[in-house]
Amino acid sequence: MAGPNDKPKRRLFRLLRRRKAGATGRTVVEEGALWGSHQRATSAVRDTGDAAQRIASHVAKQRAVVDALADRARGVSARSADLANGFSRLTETFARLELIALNAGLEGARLGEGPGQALGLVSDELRAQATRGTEACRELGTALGEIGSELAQVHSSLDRAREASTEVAQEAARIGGASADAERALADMAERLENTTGSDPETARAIAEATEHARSLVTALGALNGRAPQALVVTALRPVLEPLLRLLDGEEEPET
Amino acid sequence: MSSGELATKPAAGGVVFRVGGELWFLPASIAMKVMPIPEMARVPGGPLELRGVALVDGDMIPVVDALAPGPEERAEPEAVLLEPRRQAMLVCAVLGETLGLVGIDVVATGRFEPGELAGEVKLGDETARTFDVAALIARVREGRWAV
Repeated sequence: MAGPNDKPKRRLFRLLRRRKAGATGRTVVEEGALWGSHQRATSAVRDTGDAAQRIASHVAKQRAVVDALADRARGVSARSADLANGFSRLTETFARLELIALNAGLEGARLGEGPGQALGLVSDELRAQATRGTEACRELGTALGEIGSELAQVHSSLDRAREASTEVAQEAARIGGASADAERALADMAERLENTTGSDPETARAIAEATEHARSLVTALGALNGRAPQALVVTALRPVLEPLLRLLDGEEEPET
Repeated sequence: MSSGELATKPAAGGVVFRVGGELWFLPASIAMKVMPIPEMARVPGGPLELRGVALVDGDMIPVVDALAPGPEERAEPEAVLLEPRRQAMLVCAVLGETLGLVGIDVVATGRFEPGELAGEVKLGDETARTFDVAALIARVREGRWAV
């Protein structure tokens, strides 16, 4: 009963007989190599297409992250502007407090040595604190300004990142399209190759495997040379090799 | 003046301010109060020292720039139209007239050790002379009015 592997096997034996009759074994090997290369190219092109799809997917995720970051940065910028307004009001308040302290000092001076002294002391202390507050506000305002300029740079970097991810997405789409084209071209090439050579990838693979086994057999026989009696070797190998020899001579196909 | 004389001389109460790098003093009898510079209405044709008039405590008072150059220093009129450099105005009352003094940097108020000369006070290592408000008022009055 014919098994599922019989069809390629028959094709292989037919091919072997054909080669024996006409073409050289070298052509068979070349065809096998050609099919092998074709398969590698097909696999590589398919991998490229898959990688392009994965890149497009990653870029889309990255774009979403960049957009979220830009939103956060915008929020921080708005908050920073609010804080700047707050500091401005605080600085103004300290300036007013300083004026109050100056007026208290002036009033203390007007009251004279005794009663005005306490007012003068309060004025001095209040003015010193107001001055410290103003200085602190100024420093914080400067720091806030620096943060604002840093945020502007962050915005600009995010814009550049967004442009770059758009370009990468476009390139990935182009690569995907090109690999799809290449895959179609390789399928077309496979069809033409099959029509031209009469072989197919499965047969080519079977021939390559058979060649490999034959090489192994020859190597094994070479190792036996001189070690075992030739009669013993021939007796052992005859049942296996005779059908093969008959096959190569084109007499009949061996039993599966 | 000897150190004994200085010790007996009473401290002078008032305000010390800086005008163009120089330290000046005004006694508490003249300096009324320090306040933020109010909104001013310019006086058309007025001299350069007169920055305008402002409403202070219900009274319309002239506001004078202490840093405005004198007639001999004026070069081009446009070059001396100065914006307020300081945010405080000193309200002064002299000769029955009240005016606001801008273009000053108030340094301190209170009682100050008297200087060696009359009308001088000491602030740290520096000495402040008494600012002549009356002279400034006279300069504004006698200044070139365009009307």
